[in-house]
Amino acid sequence: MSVLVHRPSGESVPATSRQASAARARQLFIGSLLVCPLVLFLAAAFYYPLAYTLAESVAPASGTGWTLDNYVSFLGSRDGLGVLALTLWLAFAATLLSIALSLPLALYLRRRFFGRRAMQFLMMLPITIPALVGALGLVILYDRTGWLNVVLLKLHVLSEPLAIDYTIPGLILFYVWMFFPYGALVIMSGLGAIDPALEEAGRVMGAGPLVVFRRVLLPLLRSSLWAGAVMIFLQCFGAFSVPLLAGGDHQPIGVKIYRVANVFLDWPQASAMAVVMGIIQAGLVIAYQRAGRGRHTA
Amino acid sequence: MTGGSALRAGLVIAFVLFITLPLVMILLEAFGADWFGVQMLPAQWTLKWFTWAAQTVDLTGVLLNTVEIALLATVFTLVIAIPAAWAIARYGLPLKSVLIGAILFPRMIPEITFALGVARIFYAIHLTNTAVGIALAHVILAAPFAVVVLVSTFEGMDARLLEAGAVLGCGPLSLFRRVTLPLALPGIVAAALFSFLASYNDFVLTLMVYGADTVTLPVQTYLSLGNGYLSVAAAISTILLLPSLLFLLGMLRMVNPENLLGGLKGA
Repeated sequence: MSVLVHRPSGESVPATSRQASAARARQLFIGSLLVCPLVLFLAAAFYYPLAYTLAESVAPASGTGWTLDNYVSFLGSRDGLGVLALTLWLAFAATLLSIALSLPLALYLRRRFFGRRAMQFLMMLPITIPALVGALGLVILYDRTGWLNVVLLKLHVLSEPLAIDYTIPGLILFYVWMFFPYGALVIMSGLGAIDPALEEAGRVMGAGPLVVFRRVLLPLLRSSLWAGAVMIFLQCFGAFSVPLLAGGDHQPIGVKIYRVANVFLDWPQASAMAVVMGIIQAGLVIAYQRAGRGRHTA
Repeated sequence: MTGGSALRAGLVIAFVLFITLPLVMILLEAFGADWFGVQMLPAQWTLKWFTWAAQTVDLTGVLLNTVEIALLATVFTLVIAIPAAWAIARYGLPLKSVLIGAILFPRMIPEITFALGVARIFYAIHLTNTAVGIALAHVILAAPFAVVVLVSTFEGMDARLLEAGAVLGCGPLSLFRRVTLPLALPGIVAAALFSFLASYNDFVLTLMVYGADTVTLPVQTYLSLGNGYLSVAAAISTILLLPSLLFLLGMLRMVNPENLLGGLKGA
C-alpha cells in the first residue's frame, strides 16, 4: 500500500525530513551500540568455538591442509552408521509414542475439572527439572532390582525381573517420559485455538464424539501435531543425560561424541561427529520452519 | 461408578504414577536406607546420605559453587541481553530477523555440538575450572532465551505511557524510575529467573569446562553415580531439584503452561 505524494520537481527536501533522517541515523547508531555486547559475546563464545570445531574436524593428523578422514571414518564405518541409526530410531519411536500419549492427554486436560491444574503441573515436571535428575529417577525405578520389578514380582505378575535399564525399549520409554510434554503443550495450545462452535456444529449435525474428533478436530489439529512431533524429535535427537545414564552399550550420537572426546581423547573425530550432529539438527529445524511458513502463506 | 469412568480414573492414576514415580524414587533413595531391591519402602529413614555427601564430596562447597556460577551467569546475561533486547524491540534495526536468528541459533543445536569447541577455547585462555568461565559458558544458553522474553516485554510496552510521563513533566531519570522500569520489570525478573535456572541446572556444557575447584551440583551428581554412590547421588539430586520445583509452582500460579514453551531445558 502506498500513498502518492505529489511533489513539484526541484523542490528541496524540507528541513524536517533532513532532521528526521539525522535522527534515524543516530537511532541506528545507538541501537547498534546496544546490540554490540551480546553479538560480540556470542561471536566469541559460541560462533568462534563452532568454527574451531569445524576446523578441527577437517585438520589432518599431521602436516597442513585439510582432510575429510574424520568424516569418512565416522560416516563410512559400520559403527558410525550404527550410531546414527540408533539415534534416529530412538527419536522416531519415542516421538510416535509421545504423540500417542499427548493427544488423549491434551483432549482430556481441555475440560475443566477438579485437579486439572495439578495434572498440568505434573505434565510440566519432566521438562522443567534437570534432565540428569529425571534420568537418575528413571534408572532407579526401572532397575532390575528397582521398584517396578519388586512390585511386579511380589504381585506374581512376573517370575523374572524385567530388563529395562540399558535396553533400547527402555531408552525409548525414558525418552517418552522426558520429552512428551513438548508435544502435549503444543497440542494443548492448538486445541485452545479451535473454535468450540465448530465441534458444536458437528454435534448438532448428528455426529458422534468419535466422528467429531476424526472429521473436525483432527484435521484442525494437523499442524499442531506436526509441530509437537518435530519438537519431540529434536529433543530426542539431542538427548544426552538419559542415554548417558540409562543407555549402557547403546550410545546415541550425543553420548558418543562425549565419550570419543573425553575418554578416547580423539578430539578431531569427536569434532567431525559434532558437526554431523549439528548439521542434521539445524537442517531439521530449518526444514521445519520453511514448512511452517509455507503453510501460513498458502 | 460406570465402566467408562472407572477406566478413565485408572488411566489418570497410571499417568500420574508414570510421571511421579521416578521422582518418588529419588526421594526414597535420598532419605531411606536398607530397602533397594528388596522392599517397597525403606526400612529406616535417614539423613545419612546428606551427611555422607557433606563429608565426602564437600556438598556445601559444591552448592556454593553452583549458586555463585548461576548468579554470575544471571548478571552477565542481563547486562548484555537487556540493551540488546531494548535495541531490537525499539530501534527498528535493519536485518532484525537475521539478528534474532543468529542470537537464537545456540538453542537450536544440541549443547554437545558446541561444547567441544567451548572446552577447547576456554582451556586455551584459562577459563576452564573458573567460576567466571563456567558462568560465561552458561550465558550462551541463557542469553538467547532472555532476549526472547525481554524483546516481547519491551515491544509490549505502550509508547504512549512514556510520552504521557514526559508530557506530565517527568525528567528522563524519573521517567525511567516511575514508568519505564515498572513496565519492564516483570520481563526482566522472568529473564533473570530463566537465566539462573538454565545455569543452575546445566550439565552438558559444565561437564566440558569444569575442574576440581568448580564442581557443580549436576556434575557432582554424575560423579557420585560414577563412583557407585547411588544414594549420595540421589541426595544431591534433591537439592538440585528444588529451584526447578519452586519455579514451576510459581509459574503455574501466574501463567498457562502452554505459554511457557521453549523454556529452560537442557538435554
